[in-house]
Amino acid sequence: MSDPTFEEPSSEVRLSRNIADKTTQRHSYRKIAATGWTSRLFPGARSAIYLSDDHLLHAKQILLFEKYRRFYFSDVEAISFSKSNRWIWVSVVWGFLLFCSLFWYLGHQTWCYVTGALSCLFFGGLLLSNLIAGPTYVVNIQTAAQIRRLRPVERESQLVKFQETIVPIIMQAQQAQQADINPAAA
Amino acid sequence: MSAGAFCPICHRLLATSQWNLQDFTACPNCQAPTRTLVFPAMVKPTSSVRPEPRNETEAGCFFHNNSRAENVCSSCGRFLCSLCTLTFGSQKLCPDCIYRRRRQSSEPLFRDQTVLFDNIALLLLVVPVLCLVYIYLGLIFSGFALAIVIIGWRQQRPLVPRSGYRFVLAAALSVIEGVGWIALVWLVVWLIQSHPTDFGL
Repeated sequence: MSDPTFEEPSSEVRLSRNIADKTTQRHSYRKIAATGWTSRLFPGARSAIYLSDDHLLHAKQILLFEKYRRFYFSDVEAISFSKSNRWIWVSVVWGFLLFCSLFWYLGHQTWCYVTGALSCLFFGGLLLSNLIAGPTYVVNIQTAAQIRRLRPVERESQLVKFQETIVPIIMQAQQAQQADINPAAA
Repeated sequence: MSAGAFCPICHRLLATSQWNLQDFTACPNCQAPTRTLVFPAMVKPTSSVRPEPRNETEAGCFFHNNSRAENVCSSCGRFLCSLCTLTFGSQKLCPDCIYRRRRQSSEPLFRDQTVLFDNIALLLLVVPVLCLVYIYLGLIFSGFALAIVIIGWRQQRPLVPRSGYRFVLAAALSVIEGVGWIALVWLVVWLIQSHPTDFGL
């Protein structure tokens, strides 16, 4: 006797499944944060966070693929963040390269001046944008099954905005779930 | 209940006294200033998944007939006991539906990656030019890239909104590179035919 679990469903069941599949809600995603344009230069560094009805989607682009991780609001256990010194070190690097760019002016040639000006403009712009973007953090999101680093919200302004958007939604989802489980307590 | 919250820097457990504080506190292990927002799911007691036996008047699980049905599969409508119910956000699914839907590439809920055909086409067009392989195999690479653009235009299904400009760019580049390669070959042949002595012929 065959196990009914692995039997091919009847045509009626298949029809109802197809209808159910077609009526399954397709999620619409709204981008809430993304890594900066410099991340496009490094494969695997580009990622973005999208907001859906019941979950967060972390999309990480690795050259030819895009990998997705879902964090359902009802499953999120913690969001932890630590201050990091990355922005200081990056500023030091851009500042050093800006200083090195000034050596072009020792050339006393027109093309040296032009190259120096362009170089100063480039590295100065990077330094300025890094300073304007502000301090960096290391942000992790934790569920029972996974802990993931959220690179798109590692700047202070992005992190504050992310918290303001996400924390109320997570709290609301988990309180609603709690109310479903234990209506008396709610 | 989970083990607790972890420090993002050293990945060690943080003390419960550090949870949900307004200010940053030093991690006990690495001393990094850390702040942790802990949600009710952290302290939610883990419910037992042992299914309860059913009596004569109750509906049974589709997979375990002796267990009491507690949920209905959101996809196929089968009755499920607590052991067979798998929750995905707001949906409760049976293992059979999860197995089936994981195999369907069109199912967005279970898709964990997508192939970016537009990036492949652009790489096929840019890398040969940079490596100078274009001189010998330019037409083949541009043909491949155009084929990938045509296939990928229909096949690429990213979960998140993605602009189609890369496909347009790849198609335009593949045509330009293909025509350019034919022109290059024609030019070389014309030069050889018009000045055969210069080429030692």
